[in-house]
Amino acid sequence: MHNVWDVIIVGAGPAGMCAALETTGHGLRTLVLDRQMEPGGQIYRSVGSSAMVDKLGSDYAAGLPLVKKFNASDAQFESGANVWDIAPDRVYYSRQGKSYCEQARHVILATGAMERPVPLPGWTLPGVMGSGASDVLLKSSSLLPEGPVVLCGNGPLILQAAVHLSQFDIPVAGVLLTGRLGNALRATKYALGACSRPGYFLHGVNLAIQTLFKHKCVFEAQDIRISEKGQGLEVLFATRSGKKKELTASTVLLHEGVISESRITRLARCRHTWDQCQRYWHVDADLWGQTSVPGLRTAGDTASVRGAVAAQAEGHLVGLDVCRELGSIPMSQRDDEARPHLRIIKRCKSLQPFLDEYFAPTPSMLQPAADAIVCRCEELTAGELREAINEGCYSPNGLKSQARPGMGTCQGRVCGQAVAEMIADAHGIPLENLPLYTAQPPLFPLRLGELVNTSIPPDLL
Amino acid sequence: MFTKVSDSNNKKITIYFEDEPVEVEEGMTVAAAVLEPSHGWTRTTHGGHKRGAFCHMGVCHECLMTIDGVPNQQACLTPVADGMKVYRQNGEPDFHQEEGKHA
Repeated sequence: MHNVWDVIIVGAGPAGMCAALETTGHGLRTLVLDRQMEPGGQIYRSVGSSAMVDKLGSDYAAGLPLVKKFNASDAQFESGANVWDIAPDRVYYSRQGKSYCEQARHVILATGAMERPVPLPGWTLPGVMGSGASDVLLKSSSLLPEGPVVLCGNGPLILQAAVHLSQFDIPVAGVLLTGRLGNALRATKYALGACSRPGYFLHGVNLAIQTLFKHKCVFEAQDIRISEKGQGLEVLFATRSGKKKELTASTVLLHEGVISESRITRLARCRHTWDQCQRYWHVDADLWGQTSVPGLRTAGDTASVRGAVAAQAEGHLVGLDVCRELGSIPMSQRDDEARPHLRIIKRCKSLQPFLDEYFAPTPSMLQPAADAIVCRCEELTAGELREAINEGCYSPNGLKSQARPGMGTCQGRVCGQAVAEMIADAHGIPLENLPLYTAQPPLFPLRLGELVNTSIPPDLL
Repeated sequence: MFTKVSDSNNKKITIYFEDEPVEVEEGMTVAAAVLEPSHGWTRTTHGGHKRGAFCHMGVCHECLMTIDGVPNQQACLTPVADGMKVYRQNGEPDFHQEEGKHA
């Protein structure tokens, strides 16, 4: 019989690490897989070795004790492990050019979230990247753009990026805020809930104030397009009143919010839920992370984007319930130990509607200009795709077979959401009625030799 | 285009980008290590356009490079190693030359 783990956790971010602390703490044999070389996920990226720990504020430094606890736990951590297929009882992954299959009694998916890709003309030019990418470079390699930088987008993380840049005296040519001012008004009905985490809320307000005072901010910027200009980049945009303006930059950072990375849970054919306010699909899971597929659980931003604090609490809850189910703790102990984490989740859940509404994506941003490349891999523009859509394409999968978006190496991670938005808009279909591209194994392009040489347990053949 | 704002205590090693030696810190990803010498572009598309890493976390696949003779490697997920040979990937990957020269 092949070696069977009690639990395999995919993802060593805050949720995955906390789940592992519970399962190993209660004696379950736990394997944790992550694509990065160190635990931490994206929010606590490289916190164990970063030269930036003391410089990026308490939010980032909070990851250090957690990573230390995780490293000291009995969890077996496999770094650089790229998971390409899963089932409730097994996980296939690639590591340094070789593939492996590991079996488990329970699988927890804590693969986190990604920035919402929003195509703009010129967003494929070198020098344009996600603001999350810049954040990763700062945390893991102490790298910052030389500037001038233009920030463009909507969401708390764009404010965070602006504050980081000013902290290191990087020149910022402008911050183009793409959110609607009306959102603030709509969000006020959730203001009471926001007060459930006053410290966090005030921290956000502080970020906004610092951004507004230190940088040239443009509200409701629209029609944004980026082009090459000499050695650098030029950002053209229209103001709220429709006045055309331009900024020169060496780096442009884009950010339109964060969405769950749902490919892995869609691959597992879990039931999903549509988030109407933030416009993304996320896996349907109960308080204990149980999905519609028995034995398969999720935790953290994979289940719903609520940030690192909630992700840690969710990780603990999922870990505890797995311990209960596998018989290492009784129900009463699970309930006792779950209490503090449940309180944290309750507070996070009260705050979230305010953030979701305040930073709701702007519908016009989600309908790319005709010359914007939507599928970066196959170099297909919105104009080309709309032609096929208008000829009679009513689903992302249909469009994929007709015009090839999503057929490249990223397998539709980047264009999937944008393509669905375009089809919904063209045919007047509610977006929640449109399934995303079907997720299929392998989740990442694999070399054929690797696939052939994977050891598949004989009882699975 | 990107500049280092603080040094870590990590060991310095040498990798080769397009045959040119580059001194980098151990623990970096290839995509981060070649940001400077590559002027931010890691590959060209089949249409011949320059692309650089967009997400630096393994989502976008814009950082595909030929690393130690193997094409189609996600540079943002690959840690640097001493003596590593890194080439931009131009157009479609050339698997025929995999064991020999770069594409």
